[in-house]
Amino acid sequence: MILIIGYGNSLCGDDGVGPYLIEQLAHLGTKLPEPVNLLSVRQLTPELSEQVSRAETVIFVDAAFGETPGKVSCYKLTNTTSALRALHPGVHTHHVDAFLLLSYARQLYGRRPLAYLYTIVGQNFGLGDPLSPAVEVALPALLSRLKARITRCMNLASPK
Amino acid sequence: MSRQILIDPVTRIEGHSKITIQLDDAGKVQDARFHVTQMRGFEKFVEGRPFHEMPSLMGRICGICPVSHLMASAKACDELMRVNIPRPASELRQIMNLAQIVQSHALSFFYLSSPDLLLGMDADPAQRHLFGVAQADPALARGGVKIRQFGQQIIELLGGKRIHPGWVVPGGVNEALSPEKRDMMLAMIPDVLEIAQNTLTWYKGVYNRFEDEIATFANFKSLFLGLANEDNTLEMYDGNLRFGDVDGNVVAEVAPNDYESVIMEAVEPDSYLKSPFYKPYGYPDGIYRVGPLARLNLVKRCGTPRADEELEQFRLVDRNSSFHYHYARLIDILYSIEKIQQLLNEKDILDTRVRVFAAPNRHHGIGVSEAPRGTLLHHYEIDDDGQIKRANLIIATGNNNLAMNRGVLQVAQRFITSAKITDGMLNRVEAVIRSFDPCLSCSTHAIGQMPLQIQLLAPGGEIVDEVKR
Repeated sequence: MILIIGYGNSLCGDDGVGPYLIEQLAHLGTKLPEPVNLLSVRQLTPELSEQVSRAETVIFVDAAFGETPGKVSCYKLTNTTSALRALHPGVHTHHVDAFLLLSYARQLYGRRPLAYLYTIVGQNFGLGDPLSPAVEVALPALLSRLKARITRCMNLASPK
Repeated sequence: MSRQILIDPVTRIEGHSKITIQLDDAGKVQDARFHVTQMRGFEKFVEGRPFHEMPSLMGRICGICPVSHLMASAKACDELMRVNIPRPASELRQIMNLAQIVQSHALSFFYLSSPDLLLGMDADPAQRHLFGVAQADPALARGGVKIRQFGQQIIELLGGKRIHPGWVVPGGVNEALSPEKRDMMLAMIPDVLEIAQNTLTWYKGVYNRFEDEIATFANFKSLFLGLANEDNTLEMYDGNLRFGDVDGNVVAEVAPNDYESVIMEAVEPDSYLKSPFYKPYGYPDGIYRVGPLARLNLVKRCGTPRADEELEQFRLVDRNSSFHYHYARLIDILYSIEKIQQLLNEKDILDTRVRVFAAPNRHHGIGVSEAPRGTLLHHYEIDDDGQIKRANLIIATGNNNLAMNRGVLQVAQRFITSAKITDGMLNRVEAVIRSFDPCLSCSTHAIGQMPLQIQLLAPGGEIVDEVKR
């Protein structure tokens, strides 16, 4: 099963690009392969760890800060060590980042799936802001990359 | 020379606050104050809105306990319309409210407080967090995840989404329960009942390690406030406002519509969090507490079999200590799961008549329910067109404000022993607040997380030490 999690606050402009992309993927309906689950959340929370641990691959989609609005990046999330070291005790309480969620899945359920993080640099993060033009322009490319990633993951999962 | 300590921000609670601790000339703690530093102003900006929008608007006060505000708000709107909602609608609302209590308590106990309880107040802060718990006791952490999921899933099954469901409306709820959803909910119950019971067993084995904290975490005599029914059982949704003492002796009991005869609100210049007090005793002598500890102190029994057994044991501990909010919270969880099961098995729970319609029929509507953190009250006044003229919200966390302040002082006087704040001191000052599980997003209507800042101040006001998280 491929789990795609788009996260962010859709009331805060580009911060909501993750949930927006999940909506776009949902519109594809039956064009998406059967074992793809879509999840749209405001933030990543520890209780997602069980669902994450059951996936073969998890694809996170999030907005990012950066100098080039609309820039899309993809990271393979392979190592949680640095993230754990950076954990500031007491602050990360009921929401976590993707690294920590994967680590938590492994700690509690013994399984850390293959994982990718797609980010798109946002420009407008204010309350009530719409998506910025730069992000809107970049969305089709990001959607294509996500679909391509899904296909590659499906091929990997298929028996030879 | 006296000095002051500032803790800013306070961590592992919902919202943003700071603590100042004033030292006297001898370097001893003279005073301590818990300040809530943000405000949002929901009471003001809803003015002019149609009353029927209120549940949706008020639910936005909080992302942790929106259901609680939906309940109190919808009940206030029911009062404005002067309607009795259909019994199945009341039962369904109660199920959602109980699910909210379960998921919010799970967050408080397992995510925010279990690091202290499992690893100790003086444990290495690099390990004293959710992930440290997962390493030290994965079964405990998995239990927390499961119980929180249970509450969230019930809310989602009823309301269509976990946060800010629009299903609770003036006059009832907007969709009946299907047999399939009822069966899904019932199927989840055995597992979470067992986890809740096991967690209580675990907690009863560890709380004795915290004698010093039990003795000093807001441990004093005060009034308690909670909803009360005729059976003297736990009441989370309806009933009267009851003030009583630790042994359940009733000091006053009034209908929600008469709340202004027993509750007044004071405002302090250094905090956006108001300080409600029991009016006949005046300010600040009218200090009272709400929430799980208050609820259990006020009732004769819970009304469900397992929770009643636990209540008997709970009565053996020092129930003036706010440390035992944790214990009471676990009994709340157990009770809520059992009560959800009872309600789902009611013969009319699948009835399709779940809403009534009416225009407004009075100018004032007051709705009260028990939120996870305690008694929550919404009071709306409308004009002849049904638009809000005035809104007054008395929030559970606000009800506890005086007690939290007194608790911070008590802990500071016991544990702050030098002008340099150690992590153990800092953590205990935070932990006493955490035991109340305050939701400052609700109570000040403030946006944001809950970091903590402590400042230690000299008599002249200069900062001699400061810790931020």
